[in-house]
Amino acid sequence: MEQTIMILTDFSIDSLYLVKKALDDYEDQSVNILMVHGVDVSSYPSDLLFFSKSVLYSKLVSEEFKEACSVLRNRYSSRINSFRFDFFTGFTNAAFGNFLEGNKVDKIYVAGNFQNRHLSGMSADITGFVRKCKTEKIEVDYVASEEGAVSGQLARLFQMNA
Amino acid sequence: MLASTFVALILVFSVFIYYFNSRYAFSDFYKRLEIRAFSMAKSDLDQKTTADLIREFKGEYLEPLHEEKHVFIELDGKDRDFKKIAEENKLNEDFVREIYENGSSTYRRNKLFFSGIRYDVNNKNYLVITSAVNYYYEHHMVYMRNLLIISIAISSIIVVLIAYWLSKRLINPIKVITEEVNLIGTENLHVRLDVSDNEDELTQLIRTFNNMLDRLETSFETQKNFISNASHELNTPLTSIIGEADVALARERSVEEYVEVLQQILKEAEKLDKKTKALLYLAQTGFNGKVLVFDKVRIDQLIFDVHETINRIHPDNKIVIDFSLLPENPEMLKIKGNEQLLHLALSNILLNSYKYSSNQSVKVSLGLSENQVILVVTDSGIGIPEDELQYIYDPFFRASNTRNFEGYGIGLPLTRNIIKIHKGELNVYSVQNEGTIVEIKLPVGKYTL
Repeated sequence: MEQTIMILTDFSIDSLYLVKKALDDYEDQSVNILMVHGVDVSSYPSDLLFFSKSVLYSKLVSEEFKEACSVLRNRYSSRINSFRFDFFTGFTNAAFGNFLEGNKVDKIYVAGNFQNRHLSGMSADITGFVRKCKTEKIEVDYVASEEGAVSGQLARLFQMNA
Repeated sequence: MLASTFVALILVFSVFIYYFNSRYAFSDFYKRLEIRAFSMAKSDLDQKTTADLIREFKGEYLEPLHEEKHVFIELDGKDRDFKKIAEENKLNEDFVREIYENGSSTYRRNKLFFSGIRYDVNNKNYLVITSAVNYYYEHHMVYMRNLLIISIAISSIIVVLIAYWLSKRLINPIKVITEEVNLIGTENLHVRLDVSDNEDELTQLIRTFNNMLDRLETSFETQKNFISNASHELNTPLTSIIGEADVALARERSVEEYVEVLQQILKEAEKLDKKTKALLYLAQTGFNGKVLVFDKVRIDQLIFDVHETINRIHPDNKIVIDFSLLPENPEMLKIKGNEQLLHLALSNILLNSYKYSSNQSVKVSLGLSENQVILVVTDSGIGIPEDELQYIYDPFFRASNTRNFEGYGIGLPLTRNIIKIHKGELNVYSVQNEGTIVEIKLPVGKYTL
């Protein structure tokens, strides 16, 4: 059976640990990965008018992160059915419910012991919505590797102990 | 140049306005005169009750014009002596004829404007001519002309001021930069241009210049250091060889003593050989244009080969190969490169990691992104002091905490040259006493299966 897994991300390489974890959990299934970042779009008409997910994406996502995603996609190429990014812009639990339903999310992987960074003024904390929704949640504690003290950006991907 | 263009533009603009405005004033005034002529004709010639109405209307609504005059000329019978009529009424003959032939006409004599119509009533032909001074033209146009002249004068002054300001702000600093840059030579590369406070393009230019000078100075220094370091490095073993030989030759010695001296000399000569070989490699890889054979290289195979080589030299190593992020399709791990050079580069890095981590575990991980093979070597060794990270690619540079380890400081610059030849990227991240991460990215070969 195909699983759609939503992962909250701050577009840091650390957050890809959840992806790795999810893929290891569903060893014999193909999965759709949906990485979601919460943003607050102000209700000013000009902001609403010029809000563009692709512009925001290119602003927030670093080259290293894209590369790291690409490494993971190559690693699990036969099992990753799709690998998508999206922004959640809603303000209510109902909107989040709709978002989950629309994306047919089966499970949500939540980081247990590390917080999402606020990337820009627009970033919003949506863990509250996740906690209240009815979809199955899996909390994962991020285990920092022994070599954690030194870290190159991309190298972090290889330091994770899966 | 700029200023004169500006002035010319404004001049053209003003003439344009002046011309069209005056044309409008003319035609407008003629129209008004015509209306008056009509109303006068109606009121004076039509012997009807409407005439009274019009007269009333004129008195009430039409303000009298400046020096307004009306002339009625009755054309009697067939006599059409326009010249006589014109002379009698101090008019232009052509104007009078035109009124008669076309039904209406206009004419101007200096400030005085004329408008005439032909009016036929009761089988009689009349010429009704109204004349007046165009007060509006007279005053408004003069006023506008003066206004424009003044505005041209003022704008010219402004333009000249702007041009002056611009030249002061733009041209002068460029002149200064040119002069200062001209003064900088090999003997005073440390001189930098003055950076002004305001953040304009010129300041950026100056910054760029200064940055370029920084880079130039560094590379000059590196070059200088390289030569002195190289001669020093080569000199040390030579001195000791000469010293040993000198001492041995001072008097006759036993065979054992000769053997010992010769062994010492051999050891030093081997060191010298290693150094010159490394230098040779560095020189070969540092220059472009050298013909190198590039072929398919399986990067995972390369890692195993290097590991095997190191196992032979240091059987006690704890190098761990982590292929957990290896792509499912290993065929993609082929890159285009020179196997010997890549082998050299990778073994340099791994040997460094082994050497500086006092035989703690070293992890080699391999991953593949869309375009790049990513190789990460992680150790928990002595690391590199943060302020020395920028010098690690300088030949013969050795970090301050490497005193207890043998080495010449050629390995990393050599490795970087090799990675550069392969259009790759080498990044080193390190924290002193915690460890070092070396990240190598090499472009994927894109070989079709």
